[in-house]
Amino acid sequence: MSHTHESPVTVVAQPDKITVEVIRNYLITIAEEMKKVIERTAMSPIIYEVLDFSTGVFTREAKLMGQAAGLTMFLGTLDLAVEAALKKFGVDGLYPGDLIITNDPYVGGGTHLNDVVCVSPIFYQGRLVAFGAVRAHWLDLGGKAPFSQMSDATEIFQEGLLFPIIKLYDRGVLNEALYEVILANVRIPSAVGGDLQSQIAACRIAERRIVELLEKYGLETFEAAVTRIMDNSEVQVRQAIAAIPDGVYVGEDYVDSAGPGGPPVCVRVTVTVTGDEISMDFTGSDPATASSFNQGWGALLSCCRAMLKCITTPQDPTNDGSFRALHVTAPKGTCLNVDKPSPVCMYGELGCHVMDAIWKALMPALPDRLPAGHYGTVAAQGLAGWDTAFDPPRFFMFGGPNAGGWGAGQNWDGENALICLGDGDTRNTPMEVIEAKYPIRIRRYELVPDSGGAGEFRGGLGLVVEYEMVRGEGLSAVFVCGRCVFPAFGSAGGHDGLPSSIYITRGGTRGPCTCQAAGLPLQVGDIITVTAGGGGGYGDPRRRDRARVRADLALGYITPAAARALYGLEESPE
Amino acid sequence: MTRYRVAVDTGGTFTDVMLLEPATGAIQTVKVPSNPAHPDRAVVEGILALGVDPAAIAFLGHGTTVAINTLVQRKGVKTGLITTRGFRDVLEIQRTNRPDMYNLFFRKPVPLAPRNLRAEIDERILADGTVATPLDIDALHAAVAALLAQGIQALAICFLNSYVNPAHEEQAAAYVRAHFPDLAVTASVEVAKEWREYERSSTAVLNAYLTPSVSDYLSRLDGAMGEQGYSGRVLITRSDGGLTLSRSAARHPAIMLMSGPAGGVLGAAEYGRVCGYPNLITFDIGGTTCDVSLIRNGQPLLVRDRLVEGYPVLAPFIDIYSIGAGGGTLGWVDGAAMLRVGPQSAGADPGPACYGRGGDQPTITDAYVVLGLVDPTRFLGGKMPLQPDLAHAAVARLAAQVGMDVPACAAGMITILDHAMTAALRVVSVERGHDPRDFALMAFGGAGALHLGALARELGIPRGLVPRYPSLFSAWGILAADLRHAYTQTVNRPTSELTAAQIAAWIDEMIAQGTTQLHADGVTPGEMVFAVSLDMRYQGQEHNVNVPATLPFNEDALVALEQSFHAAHERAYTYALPNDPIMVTNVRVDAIGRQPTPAPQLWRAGGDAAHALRHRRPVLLSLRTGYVETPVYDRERLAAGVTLEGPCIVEEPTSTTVVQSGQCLTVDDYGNLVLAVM
Repeated sequence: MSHTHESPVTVVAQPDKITVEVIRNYLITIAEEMKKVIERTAMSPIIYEVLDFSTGVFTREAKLMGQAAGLTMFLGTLDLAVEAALKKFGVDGLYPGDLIITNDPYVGGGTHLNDVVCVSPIFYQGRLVAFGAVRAHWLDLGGKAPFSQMSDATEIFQEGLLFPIIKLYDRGVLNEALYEVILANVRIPSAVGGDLQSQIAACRIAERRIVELLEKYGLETFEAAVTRIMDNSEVQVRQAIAAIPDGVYVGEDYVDSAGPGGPPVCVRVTVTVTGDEISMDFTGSDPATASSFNQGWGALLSCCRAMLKCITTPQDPTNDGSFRALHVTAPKGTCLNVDKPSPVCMYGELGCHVMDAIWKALMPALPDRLPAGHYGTVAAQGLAGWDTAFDPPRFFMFGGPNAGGWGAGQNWDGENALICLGDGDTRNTPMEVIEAKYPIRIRRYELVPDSGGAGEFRGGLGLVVEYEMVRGEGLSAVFVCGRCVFPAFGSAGGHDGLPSSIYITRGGTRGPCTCQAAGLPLQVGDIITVTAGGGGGYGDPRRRDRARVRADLALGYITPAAARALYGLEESPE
Repeated sequence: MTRYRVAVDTGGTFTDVMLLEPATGAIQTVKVPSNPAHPDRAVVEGILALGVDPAAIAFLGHGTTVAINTLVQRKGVKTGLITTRGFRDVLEIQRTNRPDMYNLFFRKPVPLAPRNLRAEIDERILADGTVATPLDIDALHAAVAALLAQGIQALAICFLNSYVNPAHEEQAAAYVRAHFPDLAVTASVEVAKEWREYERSSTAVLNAYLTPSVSDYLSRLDGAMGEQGYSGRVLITRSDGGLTLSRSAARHPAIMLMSGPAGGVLGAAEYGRVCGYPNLITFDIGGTTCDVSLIRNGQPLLVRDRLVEGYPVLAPFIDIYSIGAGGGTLGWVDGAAMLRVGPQSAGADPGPACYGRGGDQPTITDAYVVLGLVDPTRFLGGKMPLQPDLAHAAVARLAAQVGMDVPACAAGMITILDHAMTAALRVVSVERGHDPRDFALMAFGGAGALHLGALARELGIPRGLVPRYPSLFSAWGILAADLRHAYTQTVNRPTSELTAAQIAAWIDEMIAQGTTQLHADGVTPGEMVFAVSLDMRYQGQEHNVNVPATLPFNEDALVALEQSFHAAHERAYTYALPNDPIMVTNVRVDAIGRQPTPAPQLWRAGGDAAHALRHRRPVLLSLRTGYVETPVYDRERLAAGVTLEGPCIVEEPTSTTVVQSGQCLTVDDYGNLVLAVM
């Protein structure tokens, strides 16, 4: 474009409201375009179907300007990674063509090792003006189990490769030694290589678009507009917080167990709302666990930011201003603010409970904004092994989360089979795609009757899926499934939802299986039954409108037995 | 006897009719109010209003909203679904995603076949096509009978892995048709032979759900036109811009959901080709939506699926990106006292404040009136005078809340909308690897030409274009359309495991099917064209890049195809992986039956601009200069070769073109308004 009339020395007045709105929309467009590039080119289903990634553009001070996330839980930690890169290299240590990668859960705002952030500094007329960044879940980073996912790690070194804040590209030149080390240490190098390419492509897009924007508006106008955009978001979030009654709200939630057979893990939060400020204090939560149910600071902050978003401005775009009214504290040494070498790969499951603890704390204060609890777990299975249909056999890894039921609220039956809050625009993998790509047959994929918590308004139904291993060698499973002990909570007298569960049928015998298996050996013919639980109900089920009870019966959402026992329906159906 | 060609495009407010006299190239147009309850009556009324004998019509093409409206209003019939045992909930589970991810009250689209109308039967085909469990015909009979007892009028059948081996679905569909002849039956492979069970089920159910209403409408229309003496066939515009016989459309309504907007883009492609603009970005602005599309080398781009009302539909669509932006779009103020625009719209009722139908919220049309861009006395050719005082009052209320003066607020609304539309134009161009500066920007729809200059400048596009008949352009497009049928073969194998001969065999088979179908449509072999393309991606990726193939398909063609794929991937996504294995996911054949195309007619030359000057009025085109007395020209009186300097305005009965200061507008040999943008 030929808009070069803005020279950097021009003194620019405060941009008008129209320019601010135009730049605001443009920043969102950039992040969305980055997201589209990743979605379209990534090699791993966990990125292109599960959308386990987020993209963003940042000011030269590492403040978030615009973001697109595939996952709710990825809302707010990219800025910490950008900040860490800026801090480590300094403005003078960053050059055009640099690409920094990190997955450090302790200092880089990292979550778990699989989530690798790429940061690219963006230059305009020789000056550092902004950053683009992308976080994406790599399918595997080595470590002791496929997927680099295991609930029973005792130190992070078992979980895979850790990248401190390092340059993969220095002034446009690839650090080939580093690249080779990465590929040599992961189970499916081709997928990791392809995913990294797609992350880099998204960073390049950010660079192109930011420069176009600067060519048009000049740096001063641009930065003044960005300041204004952030301030406006802050105002809107503060208005929403001010509408929450002032008070001190306590919420507590439990992880089923810290690793297979471990004790439950308590997450405790004290939420204090004072005027237009909100604080979340996790003092009283359990200490760091002897399992991978731990979180670094960045992961905790991200969960808190996501929950704030849900209860304040869910439809608005996110930037640095969205979180200025939020204050989070968690004492060092609790499971929510750990140091090296505490393992962290189950940060996401723990995160579900962090969000649920905040949810429970505020549910009484915000009955119209917070329904009863949902099934609240990623309920994921990972199935891996050598597919013997190929000669030589080829290693495969199939993984992904399952959807369950959501909570009921005032005048609101919970939604059936919807992905959990920690996930977001996350799609299931189609059954036909699974069967075509992996040595797996799907025996059924159904809603589970009676799984939604009974109530005047009924919780949503969970689902069950059955995988049969049809061939292969060295087969194994990873399960990341919570709320098998503590189900989705009901509200206002509504019942809890059905807990999640995993069963394995071998040789015709069906038996329960730990929901936190890591590298569990499987045999050909094994049938794995994963049930993602239902949502909590709202209100006394006996007060449920009879027509609704009968409709639920006709649809098979509830059984005749439940209609009688829980809802007190007298007449027998048909 | 003259044999006319007629196109009818049903829109939300008006039904547009265009008649072409091929011998002379003369065109006549009529706009009549649409009749939402009986759209066919408006079609017949519009045709009769042309004043020609229907018996003298040789061709009748029709863009219809009947399918999309039936869906939007959920007025389809009670529909059942038969599935493989264990999978009846696929339609309800859907893809489980929450696009609105911070919303704790998110709802998925409600399944068009509720759970009690979905029945499972025993049968199973595996991913490699082998039959694991045979189809249980007795169970099928019992299941359908039970669904009928619940009152279904339509039935979809979708079995797992039928995209690999359709035998069970075909057998089941044939059985049900034979034993339950009153049911409208759709087997999923009849509408989409592609993998992904939810998307295929959704398409099949939606098709079944719409079939009775659409089929009734089309047979009413066929009957009514027959009574008027029309002896030809009614052709319906498909979402991919092709035409299909009404009797095929009646069985396959899922292919005509975007019938209306597709006509405009197709028309733009044909029109651009003839007038010398093969590369176009088009935008069509009506009352509530702005539809944007891109045409390369005279061809609209196609996509093979899209969400319609939240439901995935596997069918070819012209790649049209729509945003909520149009004359009825509302301005509003947010919590931080910032001016916002859209995407909400005042709709047709009450409509903009200046319509005087009780609307009191400011719309873009009100802003046009406040700024003097639209002459309130000449709206719709003077048939619907607007009330400028109401427009002013509505904008003034908003201006006060935002803390701006009235003209600044009105101009701000338009600027913000312009940028929303610019973003949409970027989605179809920049985001897909096309540099907008390589294209001309074409505006149509009632409000398109008002925004042309501003959008072209924003995108750095040097040339803008307003075709003849901009507000009836979709009708023109229908006159230019060809017959079309799409065929797909899912492959899912790397190129290293495929031979050119194998691919050629699939292509030949689909071409044979297309030939048979086009022959049945009455197309002669000389008019048949087959467009072949392959969906490709790097092994491990999930999304395809569609790459056109050349025939004959031999080893050289396969090599060339791989090269084209690398190049296309790099253009779209900044990189290629030349050493990575490439997968072929689908082979596609579009069978096209060419129809005679209306050549745009040369426009009369001679006469100067002064001859066409209508008047001058105060218009605000820039806040810096404020209201300026601006010349307003009558398009009908502007001769070819005339050049106008901006700022000025060119009016025609149903469209207004704005020429900004620093831009100049020329009338080309075909009567198009060509805007040069500095």
